[in-house]
Amino acid sequence: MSDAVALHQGRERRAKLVLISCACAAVALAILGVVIGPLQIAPIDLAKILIHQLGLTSASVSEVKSGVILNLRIPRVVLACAVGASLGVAGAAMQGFFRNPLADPSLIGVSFGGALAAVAVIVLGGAFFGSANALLGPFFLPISAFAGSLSVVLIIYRVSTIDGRVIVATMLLAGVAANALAISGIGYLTFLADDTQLRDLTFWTLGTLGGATWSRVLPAVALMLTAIAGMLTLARPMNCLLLGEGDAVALGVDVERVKRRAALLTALGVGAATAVCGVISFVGLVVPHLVRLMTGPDHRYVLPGSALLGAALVLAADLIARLAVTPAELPLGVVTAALGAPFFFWLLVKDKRREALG
Amino acid sequence: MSLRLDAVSVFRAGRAIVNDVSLECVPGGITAFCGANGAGKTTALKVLVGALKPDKGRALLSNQLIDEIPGGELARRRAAVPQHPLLAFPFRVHEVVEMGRTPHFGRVTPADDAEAVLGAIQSMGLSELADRDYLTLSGGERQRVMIARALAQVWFSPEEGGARWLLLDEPTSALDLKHQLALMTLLKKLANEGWGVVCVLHDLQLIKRHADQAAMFKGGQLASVGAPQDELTAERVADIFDLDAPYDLI
Repeated sequence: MSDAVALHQGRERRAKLVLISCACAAVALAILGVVIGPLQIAPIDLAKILIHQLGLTSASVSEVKSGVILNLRIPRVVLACAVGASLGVAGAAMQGFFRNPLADPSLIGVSFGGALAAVAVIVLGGAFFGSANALLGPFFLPISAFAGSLSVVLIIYRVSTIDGRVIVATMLLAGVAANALAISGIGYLTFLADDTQLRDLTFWTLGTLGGATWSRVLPAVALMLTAIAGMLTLARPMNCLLLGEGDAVALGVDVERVKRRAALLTALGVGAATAVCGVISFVGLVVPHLVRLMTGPDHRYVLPGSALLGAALVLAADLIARLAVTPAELPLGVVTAALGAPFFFWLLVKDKRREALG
Repeated sequence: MSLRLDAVSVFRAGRAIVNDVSLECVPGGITAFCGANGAGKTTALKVLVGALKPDKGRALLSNQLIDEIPGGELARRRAAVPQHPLLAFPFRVHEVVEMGRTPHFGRVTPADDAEAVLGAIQSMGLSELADRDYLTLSGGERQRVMIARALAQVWFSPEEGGARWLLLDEPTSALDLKHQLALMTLLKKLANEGWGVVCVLHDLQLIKRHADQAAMFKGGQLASVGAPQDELTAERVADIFDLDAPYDLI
């Protein structure tokens, strides 16, 4: 009796430890992200500013410092956390949805689908979407990106499944096609764009957290948090889905509903992230893999773990992007791709070995 | 109390792959589906599981339409194991078995779940493998894990009342002789305790030795149903499998 229970408890304890460690890493990196920069701020000053903001003391640090912290660095760090968490969970959910660990929002075109929709809104702007823009206000851009991402998820799913079974090669190739199509669309819109728009667009395709202001950050963060919270509730049914759709049905899972939700929520998370900071590639691939290596594949740990580690990873990548070439700044997507692409190669080689071994 | 197909037909590409099948399985015994490849056994079983909606006719569990039973309730009353499991993620064996407890989430104590998982693991002789990565197991071991998962799912009598059902598609296909016999003995024991067991089996010897009812499928139709010793005569076997000469089972 005690054996199986002990096994179970051992793994559970270990998984919880992993979650706590990831959370601590994210918090530490967030603090670093706020205090490090051209204007160095002592952690004690950060504490003073926050306490002052809460109205607990009247004495404060200089206006400049608190301005930088409150209006530049904190929104940026909040955005980094939300984007990392959202892409991490979306990657995990997408891998569950496709029942394959190689699915990733940026690899299979979901990110670029969102980017294309966002770029279309920016370039064609008022002329095409005037009334929708007025109606949705600051939510218009993230919701458009969501629509773009969702279309790609649905197309890839339709193209790459037969009788509920996913053909992995087809899924990846369909992703190549979707990416190519979205990038050509973005290219065409770039051609139409004027100079100011052009500068925005470059950042878009490379991904950046620069220019994070509260008014841009908050609507997207609200959508991302909604998506993350929704995806976290899918852990158990997603575990069953990994057994195959027939088995999931036999276990009483409403497979169609779970798949519909997973598709909608991933598209929402990825779309909203892409709308504010462009295409941040490979986070959705790397993060769930690392979490799975530490906790095992149970979604009850993989989903929250991917949120926490995703936040930590994007915070770390953003620090690298800001510090590598100071006073200039690297696009964040460049950093994540430089870290993620070799990881993808490693996965492919590892899978090949497994195939070769039979 | 029975699990029943009532004039069920399933069409694919304009052809009836299950054609007007009526069949009643009762708890307390093992019903074996027998027949050539493509005779409609798996499809008929899927209809009984509720994973496939018949195009014509009705599938009933204790006189209730299976379509109309909520998924969670149905999952607490019957468990199923398909022919080809698709799991491609490195779960531990005990975690796979634990997934069988999904329909009971929030309804029973963790101690009950643990008891069911442990009991199922022991019943299938998997205690030694409980902490192994599922993906490193052999085909036969994986098959036993999936059967253990189904056992864990219906380990206790359903709160809704009625019998527990196990629906297995070729559960012995990858098992060695020892494990085939162990499984059939276990199924027999469960049937004696009041469980209903329905399985697709290709091994006529196993059917003859262990089943209580043999359902003979041919060309999508149910050719006949009856006690295995009456159904599995040399002539009937030759007819069902389109053999040139009568085939005697030893």
